[in-house]
Amino acid sequence: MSWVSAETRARFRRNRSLQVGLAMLAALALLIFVAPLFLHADIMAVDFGQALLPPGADHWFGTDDLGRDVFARVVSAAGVDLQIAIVCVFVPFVIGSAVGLISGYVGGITDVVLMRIVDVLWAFPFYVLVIAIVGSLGPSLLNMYMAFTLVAWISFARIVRGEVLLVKRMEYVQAAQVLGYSQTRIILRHVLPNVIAPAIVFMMADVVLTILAVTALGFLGLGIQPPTPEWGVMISEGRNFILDGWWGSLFPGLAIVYVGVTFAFLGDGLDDFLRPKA
Amino acid sequence: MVLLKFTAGRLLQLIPVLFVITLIAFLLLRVLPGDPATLILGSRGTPEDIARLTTQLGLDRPLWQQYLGFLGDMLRGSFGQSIAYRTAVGPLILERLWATLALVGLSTVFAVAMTVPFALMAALHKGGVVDHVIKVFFVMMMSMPAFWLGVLLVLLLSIAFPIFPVSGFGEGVMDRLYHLFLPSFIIALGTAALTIRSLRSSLIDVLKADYIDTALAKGLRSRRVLLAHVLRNSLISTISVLGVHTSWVIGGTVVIESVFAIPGLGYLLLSSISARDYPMVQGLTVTFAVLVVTINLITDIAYAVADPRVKLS
Amino acid sequence: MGANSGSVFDRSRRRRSLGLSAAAILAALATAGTVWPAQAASLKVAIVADALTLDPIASSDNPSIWTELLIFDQLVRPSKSGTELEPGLAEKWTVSPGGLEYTFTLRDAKFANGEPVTADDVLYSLQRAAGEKSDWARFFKPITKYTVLDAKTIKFNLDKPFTPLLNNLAMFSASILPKKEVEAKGEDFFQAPFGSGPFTVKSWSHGEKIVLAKNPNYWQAGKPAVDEAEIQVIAEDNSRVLKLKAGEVDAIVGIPFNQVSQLKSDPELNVGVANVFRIELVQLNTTKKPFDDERVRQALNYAVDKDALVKGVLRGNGQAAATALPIMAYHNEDLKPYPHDVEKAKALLKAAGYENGFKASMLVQAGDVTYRQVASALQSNLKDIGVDLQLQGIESSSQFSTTKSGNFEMSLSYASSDTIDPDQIIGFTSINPERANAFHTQWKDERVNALYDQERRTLDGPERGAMFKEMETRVHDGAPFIFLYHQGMPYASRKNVEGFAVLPTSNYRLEDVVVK
Repeated sequence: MSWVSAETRARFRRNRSLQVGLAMLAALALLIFVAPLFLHADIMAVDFGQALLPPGADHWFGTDDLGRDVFARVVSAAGVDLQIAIVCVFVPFVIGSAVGLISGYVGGITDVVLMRIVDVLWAFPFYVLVIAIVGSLGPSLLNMYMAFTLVAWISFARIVRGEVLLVKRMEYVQAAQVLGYSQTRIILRHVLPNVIAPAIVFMMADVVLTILAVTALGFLGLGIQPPTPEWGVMISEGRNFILDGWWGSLFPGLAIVYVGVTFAFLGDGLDDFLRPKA
Repeated sequence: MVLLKFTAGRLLQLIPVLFVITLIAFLLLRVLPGDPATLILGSRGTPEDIARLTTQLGLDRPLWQQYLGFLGDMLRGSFGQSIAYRTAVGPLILERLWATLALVGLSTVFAVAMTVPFALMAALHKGGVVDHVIKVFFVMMMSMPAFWLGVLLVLLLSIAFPIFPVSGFGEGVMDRLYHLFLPSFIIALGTAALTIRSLRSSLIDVLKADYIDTALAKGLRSRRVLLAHVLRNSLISTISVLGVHTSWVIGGTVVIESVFAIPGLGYLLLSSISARDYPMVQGLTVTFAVLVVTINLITDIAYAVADPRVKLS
Repeated sequence: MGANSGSVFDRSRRRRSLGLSAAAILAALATAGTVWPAQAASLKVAIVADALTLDPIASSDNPSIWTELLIFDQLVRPSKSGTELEPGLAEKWTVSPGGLEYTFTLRDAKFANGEPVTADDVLYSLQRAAGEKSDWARFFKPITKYTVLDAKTIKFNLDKPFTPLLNNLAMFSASILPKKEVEAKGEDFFQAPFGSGPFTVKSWSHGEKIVLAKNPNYWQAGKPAVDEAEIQVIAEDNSRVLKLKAGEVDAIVGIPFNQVSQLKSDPELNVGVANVFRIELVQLNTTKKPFDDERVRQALNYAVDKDALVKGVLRGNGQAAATALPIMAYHNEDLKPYPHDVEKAKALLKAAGYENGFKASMLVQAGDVTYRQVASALQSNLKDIGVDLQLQGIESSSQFSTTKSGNFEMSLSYASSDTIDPDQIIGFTSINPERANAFHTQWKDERVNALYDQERRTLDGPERGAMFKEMETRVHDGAPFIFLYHQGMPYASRKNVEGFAVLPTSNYRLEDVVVK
């Protein structure tokens, strides 16, 4: 790995959080892509004869009220939930960072207007806005993406803008301005690389919050619609059989916690890795 | 006097914010694709139904007229007519406000009660085993969906060991506190997970600060120093940290109210959404935002009062 | 800054702010109640949804209807067994031999405010029920003339015989209201209405509960046995069961079928499954392809394994259905459900030109455990004949208006009868044009329409019964629905509660309930 400097490699070796996070993420990815190859359980087929079987050798996580294998559904839901969470974090990351860059760099009236919008949006509880939007438009993947994008970009905009204000005063940016480089070039080549790290770190934390919100929507019946496996929906469905089949709700919840811990470690690790403290 | 001036100043600043909040709540469903009448009727209503509802909601009028009408309704306290309940939205919201406020209040008390000792422990044992255990535990708490924890805790603490009620709001103060215990605790766990981290790092800074050395130099026992200075500072930081997470806490009540069937604003929001009660959803959105702004204002003032270093001007 | 002064300052302020927030919480909690609740002989019943209105002529949802039946009396009412009519506010009545003249004599009953119930109140209430604002007008319009003979006697005249009338008068929509109060208060009356029934509305927290208080002037001596009845709204099936087990409520209506046997073994509980007049079905929109083809509709019926549903979903608490009429008076016992026959279904699809199946969407009420299970099973059944079924979740409150607007392909739903005579429900599910145009399927059969018209003019008896049986057979063959099953209605109460039961008309008489 000659393109990675020795110093970087050393930093990675010292970074326990990042290692754990990456290992957990790799295990998850492996499960999502490899498990379907040897899991033959049909995650949609209904078989009342197999309903509510407790965890055992045949069904590691038991079966649900419709006789479907909970393990196979939890794994399949991982793909669904992670995909949604990643889109719902990445799009706001791009939009928010762009707004933060422009607002911070251009300054003046643009900055005032954009930041006022951010301030006011900040007053709306995240869940309330997302539920109001998805609930009113109807539950669909596209509406969910739209709701999260509308709501989540403000955090990124705030973070990036704050960093831009610091970087703008740095010598290398001012030098670039003196040299007469174009604004676009300065923003993209000199400002952006130096402000994006905190946003990337926050993106990891945002994945956790977004997974929680996406599964909450599913739980409330406003997210992914059955029979597509989704963790929140599975917990909600399992709740009705909690007395004679606790496994239906337990395992999807544990999966959410696993993902949360994974990204918490990744966030911590990236924080140390991208912003080495003096 | 200074405090009064400070408060008045903040209140003045609020006016444009409140104005924009109403504007956003008003525009929210109008800028999104699809028209409200069709949305309410589930995009499946007959053209006549849609036309009737459009007139009823005043959607055929120009946008600015609609907005003025909406503002007028709000100033009169009615927030418009609820479609599901067929009465004014305002009083219905007010009826539900108390349950949500109590939930937020109680969970804040729990969160503070958890944050201060755990953050202190973590800060004092920075990098040690205690610090790591607390960190990992609360990272897990933060990743835990509140609704899932609710379902499991009800199974454990209401069915297997019947200590707490399954759901509902109860009658009378003591009974209601009892009903709110579990849901508030769950919200507090999530909040504490966020606040402990920030308090821990600010405490570490405080512990490094000069005046701790001064106090130590004065010969006070270290325990005393902690109580006198660190706790005071930790409380101040907790207030400000909590303020940052207000909107998160209030958002969390929506989900938890549905799990525990607590008749608060969040429960009303969800039932209004399934009833496609558009004026109610609009009124609730404004109410939630005003709640966040108000609580933030109170936190700011409390912060200013508690910390003399904040300039009251 | 001195350390000592700092700490004193700090502590007092801390105490004060904590005290303030505690006071705020207590104030918030105290808004709607005293510190400790008062004790009264009260009954807490949990049901699935809140009433939408308590105005009888504007109701069509069950929670509204069930509560109205506890507040208001009707002239006559169905017996508990659901087999005959018994006296209500009218202690006796006569029908002229030709069926054109009905005379009712009222008993000495008082409204909850102490005013006597008079023939004027009856006149007012029924004219209101037949009026323009009523959703149920056509049930009472056949009465063309009302004559108040004296304070306790009223006579109705009809232009032509209308056999279902007596049963219609037993419906919630024919509730007798206190004329003076309704006229004085208008719409507001129905926020906290009262009548001559066993209970009055004490308070109504929308979406949470309705608290009913005993009507001290109720005409049945010694009833109700409880001072208060609280109808709690607990939407989630599982929470209702858990709250009953925990003793937080005394009785519940609606139990997930998978939990019925487990609850039956609980020594603390009484569990019953009522045989209600109800039919579960899938509406097929016959104006849309391919559901316009009778062979396709029959094929869908053959493809569904109804016995497996009864066994797997209902856990045996029901039976497979052959047609759109519940098991009630005049039900055609000779009619057999479509057997589960995949080959036959495929053959029918092939004959109709859909050898490779098709795609279809089905509306399913969101959040309901039983419907979710049935929908998943149907999806799996229909896959066997090449039909790809997409489920479309919908809130219960908008399902009816959606199918009414005609913008649907299939819809998983049910129909229940509010009367013990089959006229109401057959008019609803099978007649087009009528109130619901064959429950929004737009299916039309002239012979069925003719029989319906004839049945309503024929005096009750075997001849009228034969007409219903023929209608049923034609509906079975025409298959505007996938006929699923007749399900029981499970309910449960704690052992210290006596007399709680769900009636065939799906409602309950809380005046008969004793809490020990």
